[in-house]
Formats: sequence, structure tokens, C-alpha cells
Amino acid sequence: MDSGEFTVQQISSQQFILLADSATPAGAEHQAGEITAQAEAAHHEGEAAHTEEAHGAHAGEKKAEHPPEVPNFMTLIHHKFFHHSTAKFDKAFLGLEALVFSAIGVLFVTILVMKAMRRPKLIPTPLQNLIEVYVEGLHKFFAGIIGDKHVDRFFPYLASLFTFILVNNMMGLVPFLKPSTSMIQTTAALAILTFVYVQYVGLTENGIGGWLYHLAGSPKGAIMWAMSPLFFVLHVIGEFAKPLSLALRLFGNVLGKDILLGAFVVIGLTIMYKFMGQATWFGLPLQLPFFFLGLLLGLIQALVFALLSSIYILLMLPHDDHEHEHAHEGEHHAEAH
Amino acid sequence: MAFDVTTAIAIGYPVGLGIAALGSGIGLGRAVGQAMEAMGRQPEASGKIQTGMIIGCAFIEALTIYALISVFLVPKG
Repeated sequence: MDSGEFTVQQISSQQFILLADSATPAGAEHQAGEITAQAEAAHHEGEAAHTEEAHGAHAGEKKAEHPPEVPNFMTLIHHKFFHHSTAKFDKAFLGLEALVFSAIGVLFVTILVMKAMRRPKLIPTPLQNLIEVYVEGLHKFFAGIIGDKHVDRFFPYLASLFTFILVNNMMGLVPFLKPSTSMIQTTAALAILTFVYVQYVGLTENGIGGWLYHLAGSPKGAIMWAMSPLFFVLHVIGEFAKPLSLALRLFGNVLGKDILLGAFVVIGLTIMYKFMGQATWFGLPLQLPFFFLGLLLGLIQALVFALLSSIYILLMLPHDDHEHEHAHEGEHHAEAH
Repeated sequence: MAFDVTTAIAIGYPVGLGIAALGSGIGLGRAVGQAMEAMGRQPEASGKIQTGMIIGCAFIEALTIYALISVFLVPKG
């Protein structure tokens, strides 16, 4: 430790990794966000670095295992205007992050589609062509799973699910935005919605008796009837495990990528600090390779969520012989985990 | 040596995570290996095989990620 400044800087950048606010996990972000704000700002605007040390001193006293995250515009607003407010206000304000970023994603898609499909022409404009390719590709994909008979009924829900998750995952790569799927609120909401919808489909397609029959494992014969209570319990537990795994898979993937980006931004900053010997407002862009990983994983996770939802819907539909091979193929995918 | 919760968590959590990573490594290795073999046998089906492989890998990866995010369930102090 050669200088006092270095010490404060070193401590504050170490403190990021260990920092937390007791009330909210989001509290860590805006505190940890300050130095990372400099790195992000360097890519786009300039911001003064002098707030770093004041912030390092203000950084939380409680040690907890809370990982750094890259800041977004809500944490920056919070830092600029509401820096010294109560913990309850913090929690309320930063808890809105999930809503605000979901709304931004939805607005983006809505405006894009409205501009493209306002007056659809026979020879399409490029934007309209893009949207048509996207929708038709999705339609073909889901038709291959559910079967042509039922796909038109479920396609709006599944395609919106896929688009919402895809746009939200991609928002993690845009500076000053944050993926709302990195918060358990959004992913749990999506999973609960899917669960309710699947059960609703099961009830309306099969009737209450048929639904219970399906849950009991569709027994056909004396031995299966005798084992049907056991199957019933297993199936009910399985039905509850499905949305849990959906939510956790998406949440873990997107949050993990966010944390990875945040950790590498902090590393880039500390390396730049060691080179320059003083606090600078940008660091080595070490997190760039992980953007590509983020692209790939975001796409895959959206696909997997929509695919699994479609398979659950398929399993609830009445099986006839033609659907049976699709169901087996679908179960093979589902049982692969 | 005093036994406290922080030490226990500090030892237990990474070991558990390592074992989860080991399991997913084995699973993914098998899945991708068999996909490569299938692609070698029938190159014209490689598009479908690749899609199925990616989807299968996402499921297997998810199990490790459940272990990874269990850090958020650890109580403080």
C-alpha cells in the first residue's frame, strides 16, 4: 500500500464484493454501483470520479455475501437524488426496477411492431419482413412440438412468453438497463402464470374428472388403479416442481451473467487503478467477451422456457395416437433433466 | 479452533458447488459426445441434432445453477 488514496481505493473496491444493505439486495447494487458506474459511463458519457472515495467511505459496514452488479439508470437516479433516504424508501424505489424494466421491454416491442405492421404491404418493408420471419419461425417451431391441430390456440401465449423473456434478457447487455428477469419477482411471476395456464388448459380440455384422472397417472387396469394414489402424490409434487424449476433456471442464468459482468468490471477497474496509480473513471473492458456469452445464454434460456411451457401444455392435452409420439419426444426432452 | 457458522458455510458451499459442477460436467460431456457421434453418422440431420443438444444442455446446466444461487438463501452472520 503505497499511498493513502490507494488504500481507500483498494478497500472500497474490495468492499464491493462483501457489501450489502441489510434491507434489500438491491441496496448493494447502488452502493457497489458507484465505481462500476464510472466504467459504464466511460463507454458513453463522462462522469466525475471524485464521488468514488466519498462513496467508498460511505460504503456499508455490514459484511455479507453480496455480489456486485452493474448499475442501471434507476440506481443512478437513486444515487443522485435520493441518496440519503431511508431504507424503506430504498426498498420501494429499487423494488420498482423489475416493473420499470419489464415495461421498457414491452414498450420497445410494441413500438417496433406498430411501426412495422401499421400498413402491411404485399411486398414487405424490411422491418415488416423481419417481424414476419420471426413470427413464422416461432410458429413452425411450436407447431413441431404441439402439433398443427392445437398450435393456433396456444401460440399467442407461447410466442409472447418467448419474446418477453428474450427482450428482457437482451436488456442486460444494453448499458444503463438491467434485465428484469434477473430478479426473482419477474421469473416467479412468469412461472406462476405458466403453471396456472397449464392447469387451466388441463381442466378445460379434460374436465375435472379427466384432470384428476390424468393426475393419477391415467390408470388402466387393476394394478395401476391400486397404485394410483402413489402416482397422484408424485404427479402433484411434480406439477409444483415444474414452475419452480422454470423460475429458478431463468433467474439463475440471467442473474449469474449479471454478476459475472459486474465482477469483471470491478476487476477491470482495479487493474486500471494499479496501472495508473489513481482512481480513473474507466477501467479495462475485461467484461466484453462475456457479452457474447450473455447473448447466447439469453437466447437459449428464452427458448428453453417457452419450449418447456409448450411441453407442459402438450402433456395436458388429450393424447391421441398422433400426438403420442410428440408427447413421448417432449417427455424425453423434459426428462433429460 | 472455534466452530462458527461462517467457517462452516465457507467450507461447505464451495465444495457443494464443485460437486454440482462435476455432475454437470459429466452430464454435458456425455450429451455433447453422443450428439457429435450422431452428427457423424448422419450429417444431414445435424441441424436437428444441434438444436436438441442445445436444449438438453440448458436443462443439465440448470442443475448447477440451482446450486449456484443457493448462496442467496444463506442467512447473514
